[in-house]
Amino acid sequence: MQAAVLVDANEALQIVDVNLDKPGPKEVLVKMAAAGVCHSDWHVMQGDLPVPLPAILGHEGAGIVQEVGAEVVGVKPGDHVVLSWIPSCGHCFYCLKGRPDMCDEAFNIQLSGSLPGHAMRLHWAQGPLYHYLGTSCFAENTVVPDTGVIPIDAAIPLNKAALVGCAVTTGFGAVVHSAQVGPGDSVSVIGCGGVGLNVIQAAKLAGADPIIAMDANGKKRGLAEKFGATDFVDAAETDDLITPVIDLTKGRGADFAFEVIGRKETIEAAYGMVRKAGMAVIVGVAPPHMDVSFNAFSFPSQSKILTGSWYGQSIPRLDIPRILGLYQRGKLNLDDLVTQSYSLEHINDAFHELTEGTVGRGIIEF
Amino acid sequence: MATYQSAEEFIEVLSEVADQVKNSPAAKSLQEASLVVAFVYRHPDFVVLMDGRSPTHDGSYMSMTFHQDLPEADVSFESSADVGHQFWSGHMDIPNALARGQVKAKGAITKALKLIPLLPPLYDVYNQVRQKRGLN
Ligand SMILES: [Zn+2]
Ligand SMILES: [Zn+2]
Repeated sequence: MQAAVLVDANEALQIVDVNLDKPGPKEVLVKMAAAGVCHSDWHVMQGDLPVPLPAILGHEGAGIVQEVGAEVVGVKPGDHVVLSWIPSCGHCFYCLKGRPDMCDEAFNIQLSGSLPGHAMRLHWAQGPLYHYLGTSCFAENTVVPDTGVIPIDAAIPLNKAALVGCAVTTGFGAVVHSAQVGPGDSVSVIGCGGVGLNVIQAAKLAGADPIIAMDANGKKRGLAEKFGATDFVDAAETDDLITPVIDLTKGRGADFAFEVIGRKETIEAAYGMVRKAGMAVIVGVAPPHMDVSFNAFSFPSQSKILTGSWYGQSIPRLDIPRILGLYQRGKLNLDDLVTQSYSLEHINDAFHELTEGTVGRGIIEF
Repeated sequence: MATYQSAEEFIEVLSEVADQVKNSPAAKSLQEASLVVAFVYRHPDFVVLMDGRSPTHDGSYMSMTFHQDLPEADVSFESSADVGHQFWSGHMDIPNALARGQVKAKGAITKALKLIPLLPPLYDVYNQVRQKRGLN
């Protein structure tokens, strides 16, 4: 089967023939239908996020179950599924605390580039290939842990459902779980890519007002407004993102700011644009070596909450069907998120266009 | 739109302001405090140095000079030039701007902050200079 392999950082993905083992007892073989092109994959390709290589990337996907291991009970061949890149174990400290987004075992899988139990199911002529986030869905087929497949209604188009594997759940959860935005709360969103647009539409669904969207690409204005932004700040025209938010929130600052880029300047700005005792949620994934700085006196005197959100602090087995239900009833827009689709052979073009910032979400269709 | 399209444009305004305020009470206090204050701006990038310590050639209380790199100063305020404009035009709540990180201060901040009450006449001069130049 064909897959996109990253051999080393700062190289293009190679479309090559690879082999896939049969699934282990608690694993599932999924035939991929669609996979989203996410910034996290790009960070790995740039060497900003260190993972074991060579690997098959891709962590936002949906497909159809082909084969299941002997001990798998949750899904069966023919089921339509979305992949979750946090295959939480269900029994570690964090899972028991109701925070599967912080699951120790899932984190170890991410670091080791294998499946649970150090299993490696991907191979090419040169030897084994590492798994990526337990998903590796830039491939025609993949083997994933049974904790990483979420069955969904087969009526939902898989090329829409795929996005719920990362971008939608991350943005939706940041608003609904991490921030718990309520009606009339003011919200600012820095970055209007695949995740940012979902922060915007979840904020709208929560009743937020105003919703101030910001992006360095002025062309994102239309898309941001379509998803519910009430105001748009073109970050290419000023590097002071704070003043426009202060001006649009009666001089106070936003109740909630979401940073969805992962840059020093924008993380610092997100904290700065929040009102006293408001909350800044950092969703953007910065390289692990990056530091930011904040005014120390403001911590006690302004009592803002500065936090992050990883995979939207979601419980995928609950949130993915919940989000897809909202989509089916017309309350969440997945149709306009995908602005471009590509075949696997053109995956490097998809990443090129992602970095140009011209697309909402690009998707690989198999 | 950024307030100033080039460093030159901002520098011309500030030079004229400096000419008008170099003998003002605010400048006198700067001299009495023997303070050298730098404003480090981004977009456009340049540094404004207000020096109340070095003797001036015309006997005024202070000099204002412009630089590319940060010279020796007792205190520096770093911000975007847009935020710098807010400061000079009197539209900035300075403690809030520091808390929000819009302005990053380094050095003898307490000494410099003591001068804040003397600033409003400077704001007026700055706004008049801009108005005269048709910049408002
Ligand atoms: Zn992602
Ligand atoms: Zn766990």
